[in-house]
Amino acid sequence: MRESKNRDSSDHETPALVVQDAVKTFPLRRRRLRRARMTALDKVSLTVKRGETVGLVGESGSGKSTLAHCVLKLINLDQGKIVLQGREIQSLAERDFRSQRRRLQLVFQNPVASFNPMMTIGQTLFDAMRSAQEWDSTAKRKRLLALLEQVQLGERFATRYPYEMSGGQLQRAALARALAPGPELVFLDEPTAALDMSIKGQIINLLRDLQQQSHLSFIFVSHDLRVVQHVADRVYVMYLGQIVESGTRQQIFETPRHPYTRALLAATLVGQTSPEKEADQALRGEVVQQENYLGCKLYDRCAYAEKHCTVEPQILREIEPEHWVRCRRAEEIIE
Amino acid sequence: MALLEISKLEVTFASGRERLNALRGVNMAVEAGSRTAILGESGCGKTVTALSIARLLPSTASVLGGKIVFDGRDMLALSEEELSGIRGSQLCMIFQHAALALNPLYSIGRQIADVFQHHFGGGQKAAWHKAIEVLAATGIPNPEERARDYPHQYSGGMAQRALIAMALVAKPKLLIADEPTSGLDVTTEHQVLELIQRVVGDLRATLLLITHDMAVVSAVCDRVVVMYAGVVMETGTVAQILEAPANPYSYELIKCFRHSKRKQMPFIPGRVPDLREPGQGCCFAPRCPRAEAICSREDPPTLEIGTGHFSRCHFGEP
Repeated sequence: MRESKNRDSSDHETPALVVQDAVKTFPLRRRRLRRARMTALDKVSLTVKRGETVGLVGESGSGKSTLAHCVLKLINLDQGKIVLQGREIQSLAERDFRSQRRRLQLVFQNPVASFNPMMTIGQTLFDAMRSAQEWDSTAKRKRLLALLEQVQLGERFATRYPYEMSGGQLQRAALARALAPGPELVFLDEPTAALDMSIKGQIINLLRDLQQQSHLSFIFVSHDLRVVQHVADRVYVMYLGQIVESGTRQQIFETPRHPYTRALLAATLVGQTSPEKEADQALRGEVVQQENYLGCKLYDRCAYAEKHCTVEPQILREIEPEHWVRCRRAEEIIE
Repeated sequence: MALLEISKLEVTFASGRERLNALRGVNMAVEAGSRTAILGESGCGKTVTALSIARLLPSTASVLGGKIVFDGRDMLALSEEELSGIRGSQLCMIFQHAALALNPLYSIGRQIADVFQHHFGGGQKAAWHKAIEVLAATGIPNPEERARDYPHQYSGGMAQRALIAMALVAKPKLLIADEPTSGLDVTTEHQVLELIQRVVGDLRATLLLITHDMAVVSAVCDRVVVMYAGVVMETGTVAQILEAPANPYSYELIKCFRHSKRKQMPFIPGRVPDLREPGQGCCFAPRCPRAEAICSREDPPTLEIGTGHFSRCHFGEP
């Protein structure tokens, strides 16, 4: 149902967010005074349609958070374009961007650390509303209650301090805070990673309700594929700053083609796949960031690697409508 | 006889003027050679249990009662001197954030060599060679070179390997692993878990693995102890608890892990009880879908459901 709604309303409209060939490098300190740079984002392109939830998956160091920070203009890209609702924001000066900032909101991983311990939840939400527009106090009060209602917290939470609340309740308050200025796109940076298994479901189900109620777009950053499977319409998989596979939820979870995606899936769903299958999907070693890659970045760890993989740069190819894979052997990798 | 036996262990923490009852009568037995998991959510007391066994509780904690018998010795009665003879050589612990458990000022090789010298004596050179040997055994590439590295030069997965190497050097009877993979990436997690299994197998040691992740339990262990709010809710083999959990808490928790294609993701409503309050009856009663009047009135008994399968609930059958 949700998907059909997206199709009708967003296919003809401008997408909520377009990232085009984003490149971001950071300087590295090295011995012998060599100037080296680490590539955090390597020509990343990504589109989020209006009302869509995009899952962004990858391990630590894959560039998920860098991408989030670039889109929010907390740091600037080296190259590339970021288009928010048809408007290029990358080249905007900080002063011109400030009025746009309310349209992009962020929910952090750790709900406890992201609240001011000296402010009640109500004060925090009032503060967040301020960036949207000047409201009079009755309107503010009304909006506060509506926000709390929306995230399934009662009115009584307005006067509570963060220490009086559980992790799950605080994460819901964090969602309310993100919604307060009336954003169009909400970045969720591992919103369930700090929560216990028994309450993760609460946040995920709440997100699904919000998706259905509003035309908000979400980018859901996570390394937990189980959770992504529940919320994302489309999924991008990142490895060392590159998108290695993207497609609809079904394509990624049912017919994954990139060895890295397959390894991630096998490792996440331990106990649900057979041990033998798991073993041959498994990656060797650990993430190693090298300076120059000629061929595939996964080469050293990949179970499907061949000689050719090191010499040719791998490009993203569309092997089915909407299903993009950065692997030359993608067609051979089928169940 | 069990290698480790904990009975009626009660531990409280002082927090301001209040007392936090972290463990409220924990009973468990770990058989020699078994791979036992303590499974539970944050705040259930799994780490406190582990720290009590190794007598590493912080000074704000006090043990009010109970007994911990490890390898025939009463751990709570031992002096600090006697303890240091047991820690490391008989009982070894690896922690969640491996990098924090290592000393940043000494090279990895030196730290491992120190452990070896402490337990077995011998010259520095021999100890250094031993360190390289165990680093190689845990799958660190170029161990001769990497032994000279400092902890900050190691990635999370490698630091965890180094800690396991340190445990390997002392050849303990019991290895306690407290969330050994929770800071790691999923693909690395897999490798570290495999390494732990291999090391435990080679040493013929007993493993006590503390985790909140059901997938880890089913991949590594043969027995499970499910904890909630400072008490043991259910114990049994992995098969018994994963396939036929008798306790409503285990049942609900396992449901949250089950991979479902349904639209709604399962969860347990409500929140963990406040451990500062004494609490009456079953601690899970407020969140339990099967709760009846008796549950909030009386402490539930621990019933034997099957062979070696115990559940702390008024209602025996699932």
